[in-house]
Amino acid sequence: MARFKDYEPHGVIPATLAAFDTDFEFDWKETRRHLAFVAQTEGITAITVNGHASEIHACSFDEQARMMDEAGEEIGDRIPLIAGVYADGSIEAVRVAKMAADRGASALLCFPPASMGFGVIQRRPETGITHMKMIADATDLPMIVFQYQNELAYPFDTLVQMCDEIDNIRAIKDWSPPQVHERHIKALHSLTHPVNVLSTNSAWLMSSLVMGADGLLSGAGSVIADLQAALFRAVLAQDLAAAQELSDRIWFTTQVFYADPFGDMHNRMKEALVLLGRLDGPAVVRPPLMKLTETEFARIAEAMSAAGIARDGATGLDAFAVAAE
Amino acid sequence: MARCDDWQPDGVIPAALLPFTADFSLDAAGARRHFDHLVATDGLSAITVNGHSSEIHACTADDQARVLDIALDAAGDALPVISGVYSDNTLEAARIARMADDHGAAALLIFPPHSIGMGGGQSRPEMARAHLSAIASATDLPLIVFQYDGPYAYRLDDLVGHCEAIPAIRAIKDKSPPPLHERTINTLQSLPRPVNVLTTCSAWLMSSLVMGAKGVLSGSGSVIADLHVALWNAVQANDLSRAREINARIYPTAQCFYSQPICDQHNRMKEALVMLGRLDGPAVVRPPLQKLGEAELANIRAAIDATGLDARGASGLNNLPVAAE
Repeated sequence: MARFKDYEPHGVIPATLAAFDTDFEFDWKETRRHLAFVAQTEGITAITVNGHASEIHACSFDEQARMMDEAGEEIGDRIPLIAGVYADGSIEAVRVAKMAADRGASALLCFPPASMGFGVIQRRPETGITHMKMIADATDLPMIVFQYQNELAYPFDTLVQMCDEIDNIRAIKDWSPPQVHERHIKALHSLTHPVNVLSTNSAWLMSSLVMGADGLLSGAGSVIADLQAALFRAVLAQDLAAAQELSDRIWFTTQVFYADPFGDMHNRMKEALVLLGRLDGPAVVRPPLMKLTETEFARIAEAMSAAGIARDGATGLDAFAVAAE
Repeated sequence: MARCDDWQPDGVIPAALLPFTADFSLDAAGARRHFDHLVATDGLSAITVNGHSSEIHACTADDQARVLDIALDAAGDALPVISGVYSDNTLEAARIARMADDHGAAALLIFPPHSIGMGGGQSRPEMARAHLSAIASATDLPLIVFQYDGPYAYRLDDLVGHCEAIPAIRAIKDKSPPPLHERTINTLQSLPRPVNVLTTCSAWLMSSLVMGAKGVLSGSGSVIADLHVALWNAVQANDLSRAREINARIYPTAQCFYSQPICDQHNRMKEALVMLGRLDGPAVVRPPLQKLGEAELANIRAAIDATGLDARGASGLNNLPVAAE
């Protein structure tokens, strides 16, 4: 699989899930079926693998490499692949980045190392900047900086400096609360070399998009990429009525996916795919994630039905495709 | 005096500031001038006094009665006046409510007592219920419950319980973060007896309004009420393009007023009114608020310039394209 040259991260980018069998081993056949399903969604611009949504925290280096190969074979000729770079040590992050570049990734999604926690990134911004510079020196791939909203969030000035100094950074995946999110959009768009803001605020997506985000990079896209693409089109077309209608449908799903505890979001999405018949059951997550309860299953099923989501996708989206053009 | 016990608060409702003289006493003439300016704004549905923006925490019961009288006199028959009920003591809150009712307020804005802090808000919802019930028993006025974010926030289930048990609750002023804000809107506005959600998320107002809030009750309305009306009208008309245009004007002011530390928001607004010539200087706040430094004042000047405000209001607002009607 060859990389898509000059790929600029923008638009609707689902992050896909990983399928495991009951021994917790990768089920590559089902993982590929999932990748193929998501990749055929109209209106998406790339697919992200090896992110939170694929339980990157529980995948070995070899598995991450294989994910790149499997995804490359299955969908790599059709759509750009974005690979997550998730490591708490910068040297390991470089190794992951090179591996992804060698295997045809078109861009890298760079997670903040958890080792910047305990106040480090707030007091020692050079830690985060060095991490990103090392990745940038190792490959020429466009980088997407994942901006968290907790103690691993880069301070505003650090984020701006990083984007300003590292040409490879072409976008951020922004998880900031609303006021800061809007400030990031304005500030990063005004840089000499503008940087895109991809929303990962899927729990309040329409409100995030109307602020002017350049797209979205979202784990919920593993289930509702078609609704997200329709919403993005409606916002680009300034069609608030259509956007609100789509947002009302999305709301049923995000209220369930992103319910407390937030950390179970991809657990819930995987169950949703099984419920919808898009993945063979049972849905298996690797520990420390734990199987959800019956109550959660019922809630997920209810949400899928309320949002009008069937095996082949969200129903009745044709009307929106026309309305937005 | 406008007064209607069946009133369901909605639309654009600025919360007024309160000027003081250099010796920290109430500047009645300045207050009257400020209220007159607000009342003259086209498209408002009410004004609020005795809220955070009037430094209620630093006003005596006599101050509060006097402020309400001045506001009622300024509003005349043109607009209803909402008065805040701010006390950590439920019995005192009931007395304030009765005072406001006697003087002619059209509705009451109920602050959460700080005495439900340290866990009472979440673990002992009967405390808040007793507080709201005592106020409802003391007057027939419609109540607006101020829903904070953070430790004084009512759990949504408890809030629904309060709304169902106390028919006088007609609206809430909601400061919840985005996914919860939308959930609150969808929940309260769909109750058998719907309760309006007035947003107070003025730092991200457009994004809040597109979620379907029934109005905005905001301290920054003391400075930019006309822009709030324009934004509100655009969102009601589903005119996203115009909404974004107005939002882009609001943005510099909102980012400035609601920058850290947030506790200085009304301090900044008061300085803005003096800079705009809508209040006589110097801007005086009662302690513990402290005069802002030169850097802050420069930020405020830059923000009001960027937004395009003058003594009368937002310049050129009437020249914007008329919303699709």
